Amino acid sequence: MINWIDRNTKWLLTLPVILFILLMVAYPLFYTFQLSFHSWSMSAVKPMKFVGFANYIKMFNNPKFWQAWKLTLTYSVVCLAFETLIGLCIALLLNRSFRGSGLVRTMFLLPIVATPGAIAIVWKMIYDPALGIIAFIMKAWGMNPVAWLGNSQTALGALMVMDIWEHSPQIMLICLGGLSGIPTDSLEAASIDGASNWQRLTKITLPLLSPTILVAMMLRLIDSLKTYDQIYATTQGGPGTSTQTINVLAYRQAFENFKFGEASATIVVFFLGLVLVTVVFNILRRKAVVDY
Amino acid sequence: MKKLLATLLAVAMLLSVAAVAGAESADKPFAGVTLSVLGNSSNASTFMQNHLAEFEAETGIHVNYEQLTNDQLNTKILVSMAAGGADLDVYMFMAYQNTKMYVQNGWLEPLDEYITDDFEIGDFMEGCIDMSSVDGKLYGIPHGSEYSIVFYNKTMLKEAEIDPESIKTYEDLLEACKTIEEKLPGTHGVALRGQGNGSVTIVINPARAYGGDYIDAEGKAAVNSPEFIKGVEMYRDLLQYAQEGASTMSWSDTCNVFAQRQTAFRIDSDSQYHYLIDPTSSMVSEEEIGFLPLPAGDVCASTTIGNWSVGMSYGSKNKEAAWEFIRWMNSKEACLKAALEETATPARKSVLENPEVQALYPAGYTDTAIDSGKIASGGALPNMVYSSEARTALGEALDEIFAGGDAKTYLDQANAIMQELLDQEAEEAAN
Amino acid sequence: MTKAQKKLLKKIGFTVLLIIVLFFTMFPFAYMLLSSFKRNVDLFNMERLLIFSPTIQNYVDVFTRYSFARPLMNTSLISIVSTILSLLIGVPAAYSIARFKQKFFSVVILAVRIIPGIAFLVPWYLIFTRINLSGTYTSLILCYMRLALPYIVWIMIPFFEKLPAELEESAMVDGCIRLQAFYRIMLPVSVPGIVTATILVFISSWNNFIFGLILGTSRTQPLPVAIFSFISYTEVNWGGLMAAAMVITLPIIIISLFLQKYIVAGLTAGAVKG
Repeated sequence: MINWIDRNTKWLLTLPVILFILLMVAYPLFYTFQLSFHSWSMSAVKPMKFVGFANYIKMFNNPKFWQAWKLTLTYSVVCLAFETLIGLCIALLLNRSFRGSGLVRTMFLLPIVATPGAIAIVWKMIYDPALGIIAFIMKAWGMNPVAWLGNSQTALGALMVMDIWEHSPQIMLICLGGLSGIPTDSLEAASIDGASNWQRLTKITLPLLSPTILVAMMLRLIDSLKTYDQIYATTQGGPGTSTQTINVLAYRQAFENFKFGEASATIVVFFLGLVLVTVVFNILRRKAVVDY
Repeated sequence: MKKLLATLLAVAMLLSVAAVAGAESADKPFAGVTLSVLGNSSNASTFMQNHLAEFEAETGIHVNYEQLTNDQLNTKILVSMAAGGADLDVYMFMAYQNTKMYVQNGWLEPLDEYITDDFEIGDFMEGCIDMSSVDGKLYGIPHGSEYSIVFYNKTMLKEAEIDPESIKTYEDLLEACKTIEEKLPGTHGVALRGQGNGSVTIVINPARAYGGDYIDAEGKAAVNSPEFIKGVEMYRDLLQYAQEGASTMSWSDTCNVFAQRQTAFRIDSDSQYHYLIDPTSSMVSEEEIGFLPLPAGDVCASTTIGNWSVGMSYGSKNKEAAWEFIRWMNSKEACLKAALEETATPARKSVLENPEVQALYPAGYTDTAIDSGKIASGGALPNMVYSSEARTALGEALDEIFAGGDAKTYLDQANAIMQELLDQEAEEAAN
Repeated sequence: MTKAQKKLLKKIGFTVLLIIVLFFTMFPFAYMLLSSFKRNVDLFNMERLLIFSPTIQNYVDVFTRYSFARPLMNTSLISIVSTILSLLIGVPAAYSIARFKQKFFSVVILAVRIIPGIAFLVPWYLIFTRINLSGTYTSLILCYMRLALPYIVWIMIPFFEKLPAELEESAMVDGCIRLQAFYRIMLPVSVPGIVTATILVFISSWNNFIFGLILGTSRTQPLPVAIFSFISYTEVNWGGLMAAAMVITLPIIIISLFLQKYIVAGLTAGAVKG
């Protein structure tokens, strides 16, 4: 008996998780996949109808689908670029000992941990054309207030600013962790050799830090592609479809337009996209670790 | 002897208790039933807080009442219906937006056979009933009602020497706005939704006043008709006198613009009046606020009627008890109570005309509602299954038009999308 | 310029930069706090941006008119129970994956983490209705575990990988079986990792919105959903919204103040020396 347990420890320890995944993840996923080949408005009187690849064909011919991809990628890539840049700069700034450094780090933690849905509403108020602080400032300077979230030209940008505010600290904290792992003696040796601050940064610090940055970026990318709460709480994809990312498109197709087959097809393709990103991520990660 | 008397007394008491209990179960055929009810998180919820316990005590029915915002409510209903609808008994829905879709999907129970004469269904505003009916069958009882109207600030109009009664047409309103901006520098004419998607439900008023509509008599999409375009262009003209940044604002923004005395007029739904006179949210006082029915175009005056309706889930296992609840919630007494507690603007004509109610609302409010009822012609969104998709398309066109784009060009595009959705609906109905 | 002057200048520059960055970081929180004490009429008035008569009415409303006590309790209950259950089954699994190099399994866990939450909404609802669990705490806890479980495993794998294998091996030489070695030796030394995972998972459960939106009922509705009751059909109560946002974020802020070290460790887990 004991021998049997010992031989199968690895399955005993993972069994509950395997069961959970089968029931709570695999089945729903299969259901969604199956639904993507059907047409169904959740009707009680008309059953779902098998339509083959019709949902997929319709999706690929739908300009809104491509627009959603474009928006999703623009959003994620722009946010990621700014977050990495800002995060890295702040990390380099804070990478020293000073009084109150613990408190400062805690302050940077707050945007990351605060409830996104609730904080998005605070931002919505900041952006509001009638009562937002930005509108007040603009009016004080004699400008017309702009509803940043209510204008199809600015809404996506306004959402990006929210995201950058929320997640730059995340990259910052991860980089700070990476920086503390860089041996100080090699930096000292370099400065004895007469290397300037800039040279030390680009020749030693950044190359050593790059695997950490890369992983931080990839983790962030996967989450930012799936951004939902903030958009729901502020624009819900609007005005029009100007902030309708893939996730929001799928939600709207399903819960606003009642086209569950189409929504499922969108989700399936979106999931495949995420898998692709993750695979690339893992390849890069393995490379990065070897380089280290 | 004493003992015997005591025994008799005890027996009599027991019997009478039993009799009361028996009577109770006859009075309360649904005692012990649990209903689950979804409501929108507006004032209906306050009504429930105030009165639900009375209903539960009266009937012995236990009610799980849940309040959600519009979108959340819609989502919740949908997911529940998909699962058979058995876990929901009663829910509120936005009649002008959802009735057709819900009915086509079979999610609502027709209510006609439940309605008894003492419910006085004829007392409800016809517009509200129409909105909740499909093919002559009634699927929801209206709870609350609202019309698009013109709000105005009496003080500002007086300062600008404008007689509100003189505003009969959209041209008059345009002229008045101009006067306001000339005579009261630093203020604007009218607080108006200018964000495309949000303004669809308001733009339809001038569009109908100039003879257009979403869908024509043949059932074809008609938002690019010359009449519709005329209405849209009138709205665009009005926007010139709207608050700063109008092109991105929706109803909650224009509420605040008017409340902060930045404009003299405001066009929107009358059900929002409370926020506009509440001293904790508004600088406009109850004495200062005035109401007018929407002005006329060159064809007619027109406004939209909107309401929440209370419907019964097709999958409910307690339909009789569910009706008991709907009946109670929308009875004449309840409707009056709700009006007097200002938790719902009345959907019953008798309540709107009740002198007590009329005295309670700001002066002119109920008269304007009654007058609006006479010019009301249809809902704020196209009466079709995919109405929210159609709204999105139209909203995008309006954004372009308000930014200076050619009305015909963009409404042509929106019309094509709308027609496609109508075709899809017809095709699905045929299958 | 002397060396001391240069140093001073550098220090001043650093402080100024830091203050600017912190200002932008903290601004939304300050704005939220300030606005939560204003009446709506003050919120819209530029002149009363900083000087106004503060009111606690918004907070009173949050707990009376909008009865937030219930969702507050719901969120706490659901978050705590789902976190504990996920730990119970997630930590052993992470250990097994780390020690026995179950590569395929770790990929599956990662995949579970990246599936968009929306893919689950309808199927879950159908399942829970069919087994008569719809709207119950049980169903919400199970859904939140979908979120928590991969997160815990993801944080714990590198943690166990870093622990030297000799630790258990020496115990096993002493006659322990692997399972005993895990519980007696490995678990106690992995407490810091478990604390980290617990906090992070608790926070993300606390913040979760979409599952509660679809799968909760008035009885079980969590906080981030309840906040939307301040946006009604006829008016938006901004002051109340801000007070509600404060009530939701405050517990998280307090946790962060005290357990900052662990949260940072969790964020960097898997990133540094991956």
